[in-house]
Amino acid sequence: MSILLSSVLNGLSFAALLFLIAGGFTLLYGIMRLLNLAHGALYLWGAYLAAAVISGTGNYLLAVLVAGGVVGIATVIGGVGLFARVQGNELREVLLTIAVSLVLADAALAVWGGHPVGVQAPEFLRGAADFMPVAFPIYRLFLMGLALAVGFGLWYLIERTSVGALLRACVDNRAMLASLGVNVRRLYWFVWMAGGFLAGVAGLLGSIVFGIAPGVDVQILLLALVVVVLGGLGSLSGAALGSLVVGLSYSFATVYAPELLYFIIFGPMLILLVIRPQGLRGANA
Amino acid sequence: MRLSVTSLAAQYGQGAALHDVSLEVAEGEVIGLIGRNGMGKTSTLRAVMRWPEPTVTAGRITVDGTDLTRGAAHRPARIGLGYVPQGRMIFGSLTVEENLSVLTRAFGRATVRAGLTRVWDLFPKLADIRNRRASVLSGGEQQMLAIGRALVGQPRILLLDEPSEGLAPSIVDELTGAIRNLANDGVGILLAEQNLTLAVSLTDRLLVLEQGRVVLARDSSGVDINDPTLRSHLGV
Amino acid sequence: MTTLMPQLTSRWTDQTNQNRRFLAVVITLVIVAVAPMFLQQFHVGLLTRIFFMGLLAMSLNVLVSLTRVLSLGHAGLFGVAAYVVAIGVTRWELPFLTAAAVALVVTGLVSMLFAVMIVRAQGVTFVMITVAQGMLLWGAAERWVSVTNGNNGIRGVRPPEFIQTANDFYWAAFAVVAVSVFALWRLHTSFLGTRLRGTGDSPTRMTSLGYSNAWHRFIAFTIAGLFAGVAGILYVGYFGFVSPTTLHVGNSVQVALAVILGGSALFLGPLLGTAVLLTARTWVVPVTDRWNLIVGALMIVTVLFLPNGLAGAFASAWAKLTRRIPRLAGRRSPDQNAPSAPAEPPGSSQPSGTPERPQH
Repeated sequence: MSILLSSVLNGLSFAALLFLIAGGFTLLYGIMRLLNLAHGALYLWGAYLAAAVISGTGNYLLAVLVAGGVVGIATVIGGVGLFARVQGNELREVLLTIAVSLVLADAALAVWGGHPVGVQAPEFLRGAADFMPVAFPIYRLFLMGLALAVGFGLWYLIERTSVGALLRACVDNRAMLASLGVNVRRLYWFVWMAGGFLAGVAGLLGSIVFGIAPGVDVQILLLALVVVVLGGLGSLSGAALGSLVVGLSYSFATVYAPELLYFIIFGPMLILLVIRPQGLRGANA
Repeated sequence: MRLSVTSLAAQYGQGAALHDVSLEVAEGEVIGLIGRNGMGKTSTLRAVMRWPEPTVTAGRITVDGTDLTRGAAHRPARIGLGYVPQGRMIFGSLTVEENLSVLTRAFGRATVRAGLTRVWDLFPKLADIRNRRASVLSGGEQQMLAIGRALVGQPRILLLDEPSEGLAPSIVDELTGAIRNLANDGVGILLAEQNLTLAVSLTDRLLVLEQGRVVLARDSSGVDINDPTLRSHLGV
Repeated sequence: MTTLMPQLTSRWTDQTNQNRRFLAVVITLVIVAVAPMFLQQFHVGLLTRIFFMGLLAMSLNVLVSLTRVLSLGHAGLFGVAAYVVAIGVTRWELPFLTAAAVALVVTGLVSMLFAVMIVRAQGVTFVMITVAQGMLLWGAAERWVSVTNGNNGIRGVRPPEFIQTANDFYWAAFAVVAVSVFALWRLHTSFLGTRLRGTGDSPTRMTSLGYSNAWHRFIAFTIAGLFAGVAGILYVGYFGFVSPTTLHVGNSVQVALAVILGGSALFLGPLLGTAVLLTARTWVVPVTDRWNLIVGALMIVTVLFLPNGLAGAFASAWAKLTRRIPRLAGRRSPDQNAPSAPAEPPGSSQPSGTPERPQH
């Protein structure tokens, strides 16, 4: 019973973290149709930067701002500088994001070294809460709350604000929006920034659970990929649903069938892609 | 304000779309661009609006001496050109009002507010359904929205691509009336149209496009719809 | 992925060049065959690796140049073959060649299974599915410890008895790769190859001609997987060792880089790309640990500035040269093959490889 309960709780909190990790990834795809395979590398840099700030100053708010801000700005620069040349050519875009991720991951290895780094949660989020049979880390409860807040915030931004209307119009028909007088390029800067910021902050949030080490970037990218593909590329509610499916199945698989872990995560995604290539919540493309 | 297109050539990928197109539209004028499908009407309008395709390979597009041949895609609209594309291309996931107010950041709050009033005046029908999602509108309503959206930025010259396509005659009459009103207000209009009767009744001057070239130019008042040369160009 | 350059394709089908080309092929084969007698051990090893990794890249190019999709899980199928051989030889104590035959069958079956998943996918979706497939295989290799020995990998895979020295292996690999490359060449020039190309270039026309795009994608993927399997068998024979790294997505990325670096439009482009990469690697690795950074940078440069790869760059440089000095080439100018486009004024023309230049 307690194993079951802790598996469910672990699964939910992991789902929350997955949603936070996949946020920036699904945003870039949703608005710009960019499959950003450098997402994991951006996460990695966010994690290292945040860890450096925390060990230097102990200030978590500053860590969030540095991780999100630096990664966000770097993403804007990289996006505007590199991707303008290949825009509209999906495959070359994807290749470019892979290339960038190779460079970033190796540069991180050069700068921060190959030793695993642990990051602690801030003081007020340490410790455990008691749920009769099991004790559950407070930080994980915090992640669940944060995921709900971020999910709602993104939904509100896209569906209820004027920037959101611009973004939706841009998804509908980018060329039309531009020829009505909207500076779509500047809108894209905003999206690059937001995607990078989310990836960087996810680095901090995730490193408290997973720690940081070389190779984490690939794992994170794959988790984001599975979540987003399961749910439907570019769909916010899809990312939430995908996170739940992957989070829970991951949590149960590690307990009950550790050897088959990857089959249990990737298997459903592959089957789904055959039956329903657009994902659970994706629109018919 | 005067839009001048001089010896324009453009292509999609490696395929040529326009070879030699020259035309002029001034405020208050209504110029018709006619020709069969695939002869370059849409390509001409898209090239003027700096659409991603076709790419301009030669010639010049200017508005009052300002060069528009190169540069960012949002410049033509900011400078005073309005565009109603073929197929309407309204933003289906936005509401009717959002389709218009989405331009707030481009033109400023005051301009857009004035634009909204103007659109609701021109098409009272749209005002009643302003909170409806644009994807569920009828063809005629979508066309009105597309025209309205092009008017929000207070353009001096409006480019219309086959506004009558696929619409019932009564709705076409309504739109024709609206376009005439705009012309009377002093807006210059460049109308790409396949329907010769409609084009003749609306325009001051007609240009016939064939294989990406302007092959014929006539004053509309003198045009006989049954003129054999004209009809052979249009393939009717 | 990139447009086939008309000059290149037409040159390959040009009848007048047939004999000259045949002679060139024979001479090259002879030179490559006797090469180990004059080379150091190190270079023989490098060439051997170029053979089978080049075959892997060429098998990927079946997908890239014909059906116009990019797989980032290709090293997974390569690894399946390597693992089956390793397990067959070390655990079931099969002879190497028998294990190799089993490996080909298994790789073929896995390829077919994966092919079923991709027949409807295009572009980015295709890339993602293949990434997931590759990771699934990687995950199996890493986690399924009882069979694969996990991260420790499997050691001690001996090549067949008749292969004693490094030179022996070189010749064996050369023979297998040469036959495979010839088979791939036949595929590219056959009617099947034309239909596969049709699936990539104009699927709607294929449908209207009564061909099934899904079926042809299935075939292309399976063939690509089988040849990746051949390369994987050589790989495990050469190193005697296989581990999860072999089928990691990073490895698939390097194979993809070899294809685009060499140029997918040219039949041997991927082999060229592999040769450049592996040779560069032998220079770089002793000097610095930053090989991945260099691979990434090289990839950025290739994607941004060499849309048709090194082969494309050579071809256009050659075309420029022959246009300037027509008598040197002694042949018709490549311009005659270009589709009739309107005369472009100087200064406004685009580089021929990038018709999709961005507007924003």
